[in-house]
Amino acid sequence: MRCQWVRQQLAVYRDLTDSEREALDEHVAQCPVCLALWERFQAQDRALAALPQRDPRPQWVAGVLARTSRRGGRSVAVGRPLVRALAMSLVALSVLMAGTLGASAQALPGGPLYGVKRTVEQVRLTLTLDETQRGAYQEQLVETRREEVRQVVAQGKSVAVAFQGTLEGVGESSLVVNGIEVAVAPETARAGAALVGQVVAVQGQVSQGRVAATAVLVRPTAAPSEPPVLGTTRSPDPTPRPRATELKPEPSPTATAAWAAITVTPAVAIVAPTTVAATPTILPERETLAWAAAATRTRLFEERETRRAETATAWPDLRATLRATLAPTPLPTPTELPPTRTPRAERPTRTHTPQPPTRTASATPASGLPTRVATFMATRWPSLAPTHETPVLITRMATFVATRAPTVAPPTRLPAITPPTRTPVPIATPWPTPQPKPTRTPAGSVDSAPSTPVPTQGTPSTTKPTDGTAPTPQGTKAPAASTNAG
Amino acid sequence: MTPDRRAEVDAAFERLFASYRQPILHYLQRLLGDWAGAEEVGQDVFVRAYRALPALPADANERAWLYRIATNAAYDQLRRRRLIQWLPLLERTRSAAAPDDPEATVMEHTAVQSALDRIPAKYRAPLVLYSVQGYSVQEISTMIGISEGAVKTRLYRAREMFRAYYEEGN
Repeated sequence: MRCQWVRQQLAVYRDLTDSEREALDEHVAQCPVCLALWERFQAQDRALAALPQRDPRPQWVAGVLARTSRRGGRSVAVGRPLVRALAMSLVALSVLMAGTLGASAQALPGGPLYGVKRTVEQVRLTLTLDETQRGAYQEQLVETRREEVRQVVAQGKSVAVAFQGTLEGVGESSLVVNGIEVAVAPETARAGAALVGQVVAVQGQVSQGRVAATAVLVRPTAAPSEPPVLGTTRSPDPTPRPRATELKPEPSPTATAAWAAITVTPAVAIVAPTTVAATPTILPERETLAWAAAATRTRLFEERETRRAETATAWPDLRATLRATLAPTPLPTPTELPPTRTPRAERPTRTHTPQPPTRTASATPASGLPTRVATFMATRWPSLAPTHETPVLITRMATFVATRAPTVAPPTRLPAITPPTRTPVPIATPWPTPQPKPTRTPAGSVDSAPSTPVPTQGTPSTTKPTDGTAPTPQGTKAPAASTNAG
Repeated sequence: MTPDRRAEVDAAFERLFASYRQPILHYLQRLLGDWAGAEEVGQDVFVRAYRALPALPADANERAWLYRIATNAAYDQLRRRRLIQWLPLLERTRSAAAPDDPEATVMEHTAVQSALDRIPAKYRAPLVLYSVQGYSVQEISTMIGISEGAVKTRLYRAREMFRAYYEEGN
């Protein structure tokens, strides 16, 4: 019996069968090494069995029962360190997000959290399904934008702003929108007729404590029979948009005076309001941005028209001049060329010989080949000058060459074209300038109406259509956002 | 789970907990080397057992099943701790021994526990179950989830290592 096998069996002596024990006992009695090992194993068992044992603490027992059975019965995931750490991380992240959102509520344009603030507002607006609440929240947002502008102006920051409000007054070079003074420069893009009490959208830059407008858009208000519906982004317009010729100011003295006092920028779409609504519709921000883009397009169009008018008068008719200088020259007569090839160095320099301007019905010789090909062959191979008796093969070759290098028709004298008469586009006139400085009054008041009459401005320029319909004013397209549905 | 079934499970668990909480704690203490770790892992063991008890067959060996859970939990804890085999003898706390034992007995117990702690976990578990808990090879194979031959082999190697570490400690 091998000792190695015996030693392994001695490790589990207690679980051996009787026959196995007898065999091991016989071997151990004869092998002192295995006997010593057997004694050591027994001592180990006694030492390990003698290790002290403690009773579980009552608190530990209560803790286990609290997490199990009816007395607890909850998931024990939070008891594990990894899950506990994950839960703490989620709590910390939630606290951080709450703090960020709370801090962003006071953010101003140009601030680091202003983007977060606007995002939160858009999300909230999107999630507001009730139309009434949506409209109320939009009004709140409009007031928030105005308040931000006031704070930015008070702090003297330099940021870009965009807001809308009710036009309270019109100055020589400024407007007053809900108490905010907006400087208007000649390069400011404008669209719409400025009437006190109307809703205007302003896009500009705040610097040195003042708002300088880059674009101002006035939205025409709805008729009293169709009160504006708060909360709708695009109010339906069942009546067709009136044309310039159909515009008639209402007999109301205030409206008439205001309309008459307005200096409308030419080339701008005119939509005269019938009345001044008491509660103008709140404009969504995306419409404001669309109007700003329309105003910019208007300004660019005007500049282009101005440049075009100036160019038309300054530059002469170059085309006619060029044609006059071109003189018809006869075709060169074919001459016998020397049979030998002239070296390149001795060849005369090529000069361009203008072709005669004459154009005949068939510019081909009697051979039926194009003139250019016939000329080429006559000059190069005069002995092979094509005639109507030329073999078919040569004819086909010439035709192939002709198709590869088609004949270019010589320039002919074109009939003179009379340029259209262009009426110079007048420079944009400034907006009306009431003399007294308007006093700050509550929104919707017309106390700032000019007391002295101002001279009426010229009528807008029109293009005479050729189909006999009524002329339409030149200008930009009306803001499409206000008429599109949904 | 219906309320009646829930009540049955709760009763079975309370019976299981009362019968095996002490041996499981002692087993975990020998495997982990400290009483605090044994209490922490022991709590997780019984909670795991409570959650898996409804799915346990009626004729299953509850003891072997519970020790299986405890062994796996102890292995997980040791893997997280990344215990090093050569733990110093003085690291053994006084809490491992009864407070009223004589000094020699305390020293003896400390030496035994230190030698036991130096044995790798996969060899230590069958040795503790066989020599300390008194389970058979067949039961140990069920508890740990290995064959009986593997249990015998590991027991022999664990004894050789224990003998070497114990003599080295003394």
